[in-house]
Amino acid sequence: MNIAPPDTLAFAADRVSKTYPGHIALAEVSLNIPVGHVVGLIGRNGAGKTTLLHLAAGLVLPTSGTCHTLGRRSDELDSPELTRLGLVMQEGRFIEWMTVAQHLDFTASFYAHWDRDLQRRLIDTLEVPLQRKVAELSTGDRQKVGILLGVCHRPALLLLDEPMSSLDPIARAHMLDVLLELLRDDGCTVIISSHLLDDVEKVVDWIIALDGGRITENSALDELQESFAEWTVTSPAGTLPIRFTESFILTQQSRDRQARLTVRTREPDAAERFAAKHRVEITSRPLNLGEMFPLLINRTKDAP
Amino acid sequence: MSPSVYLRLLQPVPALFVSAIFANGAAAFSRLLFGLNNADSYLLALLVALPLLLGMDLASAAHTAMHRPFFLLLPDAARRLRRAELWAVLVCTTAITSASAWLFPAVPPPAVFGIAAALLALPILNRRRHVARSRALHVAVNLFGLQFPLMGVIGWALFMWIGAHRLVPAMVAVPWLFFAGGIAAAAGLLQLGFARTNLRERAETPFFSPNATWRALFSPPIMARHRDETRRHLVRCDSGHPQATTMPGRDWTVAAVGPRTRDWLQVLWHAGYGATRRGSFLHAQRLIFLVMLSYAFVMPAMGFMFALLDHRPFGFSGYLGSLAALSSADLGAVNSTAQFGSAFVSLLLFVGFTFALALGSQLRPQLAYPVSRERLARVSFSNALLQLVFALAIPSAALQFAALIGQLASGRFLPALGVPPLLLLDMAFIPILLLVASAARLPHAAARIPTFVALAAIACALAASRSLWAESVLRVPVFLGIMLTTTGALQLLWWQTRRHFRTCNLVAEAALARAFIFGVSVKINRAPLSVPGQ
Repeated sequence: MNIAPPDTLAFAADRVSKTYPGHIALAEVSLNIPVGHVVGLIGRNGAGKTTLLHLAAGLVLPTSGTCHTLGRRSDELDSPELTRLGLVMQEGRFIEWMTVAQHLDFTASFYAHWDRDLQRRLIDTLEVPLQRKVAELSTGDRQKVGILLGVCHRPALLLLDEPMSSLDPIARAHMLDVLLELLRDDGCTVIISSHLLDDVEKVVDWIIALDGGRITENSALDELQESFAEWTVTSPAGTLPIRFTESFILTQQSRDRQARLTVRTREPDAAERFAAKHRVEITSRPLNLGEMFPLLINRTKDAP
Repeated sequence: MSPSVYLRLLQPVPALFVSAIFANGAAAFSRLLFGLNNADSYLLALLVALPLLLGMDLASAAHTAMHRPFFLLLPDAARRLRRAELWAVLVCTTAITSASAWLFPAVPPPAVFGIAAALLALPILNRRRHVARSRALHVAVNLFGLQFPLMGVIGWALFMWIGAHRLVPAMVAVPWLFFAGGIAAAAGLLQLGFARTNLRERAETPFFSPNATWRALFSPPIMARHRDETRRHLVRCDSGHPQATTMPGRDWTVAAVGPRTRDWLQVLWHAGYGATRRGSFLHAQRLIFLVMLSYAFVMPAMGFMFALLDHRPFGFSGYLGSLAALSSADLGAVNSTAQFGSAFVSLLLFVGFTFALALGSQLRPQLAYPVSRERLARVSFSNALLQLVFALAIPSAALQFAALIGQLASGRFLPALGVPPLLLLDMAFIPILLLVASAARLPHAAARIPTFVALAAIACALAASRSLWAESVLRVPVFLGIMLTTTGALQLLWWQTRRHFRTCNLVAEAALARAFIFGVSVKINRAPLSVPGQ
């Protein structure tokens, strides 16, 4: 995602590194996220996802390199940019003594265009207890409050850090609906970091995978879905080679006359040519994001 | 529970240090206010104040573990902790008895043993609960929760109530009765303190022992965690209270926050305290703490220093008379060098506490506010400054009040009584210079510490010169010098703050405090806690 002109970028990072004493959170990360995209940020724990989101929000600054958020350097973000930015943290900070209603009023006063209708609808659909104090809320309800506070000003760039990890399936479905609505109505750019890959897959159009602070994948989801597949290979003659050596094969498991291969290739006739070469029959199945995940984060260079 | 685990909870060095200071304070109080002789006052400290203070430390160590939800799940934990507590009580009792036998051979050791054992075990019953049903009760409980400053007063009160002259003859007459009674009381108290029902109740409320967590002073993430947990618990306690949602002014009525620093200061204050029942309680607690600190800790210490350095008995009226002179901000009126030195000891004590208090509320922004780093720096700096002035103004007012009483009591009227702005300047001058020293971005600790000490010495010397030359022609230049230095230091501090906010990690705990204490932040940054989860 490095092709859009700078004025249409919601977030751009240029050779960004972030180090903490004894720990490298991000290393030489470069990426551009154009306006209007929904980007899934995936990676294992400690991969650097939260750090990248905090960099985008200007909460932390890079040790080296530069970040631009909504067209401005992230260390210079001011009210015009910050009021167009929404951030939902996994464990949001709240003012514990306030009730949810008070907290909403308090936060709304910082934004010129707080959408009360959206607030009301979200309160109803997510079943947020307005009169309870934040300190008394369950983890799931706190997360709902975090979502409310993050989206009701209809941000141009919405950063979601594990926003649904504590939500029940129904609330998660509602949350996804809200996201889709924001995308449809406002053309909002969303960067969502989550381990709930099934949910992520439903809304994102781009995937960025991080591992050990480095980007290991930066591709459109469609493209990934088209190129990753699981082949079940059967030999009518009853013999299979001990190991297939084609470079597009990522993993393989053989048993008797059958082998199961995960492959990544964009060549449309790759399966036919493979079948002809090895005199085998192939049944192909596309991989979902959850199945792709280990392949995306372990790979350090692009497949052919 | 192994001794090392218990000692880690107890932190014996700070426990002994703080107990010794307050026991000494109790002795000084009794000498100054009620004319006890040295021997009687130290007997009071040894027999009453020290066992109670040490007992509170021992109880705090046990309660630190008991006030955690997982404590009930640890197999056999209560019995092991009780055994460790029993050993600790025995060791302390033996130490106190030995000291008594050495210092006061006329007092029978068995009686001392009994009294010390009972008083050491007594604080284990401290329930450490936040009573939320009544506001007055809440304040009262927290007043008594300010244990350290009050221990001197309580010790003195107990001693006076029992009657020093009647107690010792009684101990001599029936020493074994005191011994048996004390042992029985201690055993009963320990049994009760570790009862199953108490354990269950304690597990639901958070408590952080000052001694067990004293290292947290250098770890803002831990301090912030403690504060959040306690605050959350307080809010939970408040739930269901009829006033909780109807308190006037509780709601945030500002429709749109303006761009001015003043508008954002309002935001910080409302977020921090609100116009809430709990918020006003927090305000009241701070105020009460400062006033109590003035009277219960600083003044006895001051009196003690007066008496010690002057090598003469120091009566009530003399004490208050000198206090009047001191708090009139005209230190030149305090005649002896010893009084003058003690005045600065007291002043620095004020400064230390007020400095810590003012920074304590600067721990971190509670939300990611949509303001630029520049504005956040400006708002945080203004807020810190206001808090510092507020924190300094209360002891200043307390001193003025004490001075007035002193004048009335001693009949020694001073023309320069009550110049609060000057006193405030003296008191603000030192912490501001210390803030500058601690905020300096010096690369090595080896450079930071001498800079800090040098600036503190310069600050004290300048403030002292103002007082010494209070009556001379140099008065005006020195005063102007202090004013200019204070202003310059504030400007320097603002630059440091702004520079810090340009690059600081706004997610980390204590992001704001670090603007003012870089010396500490260097240490904190090495801790993995400051790294946000990726």
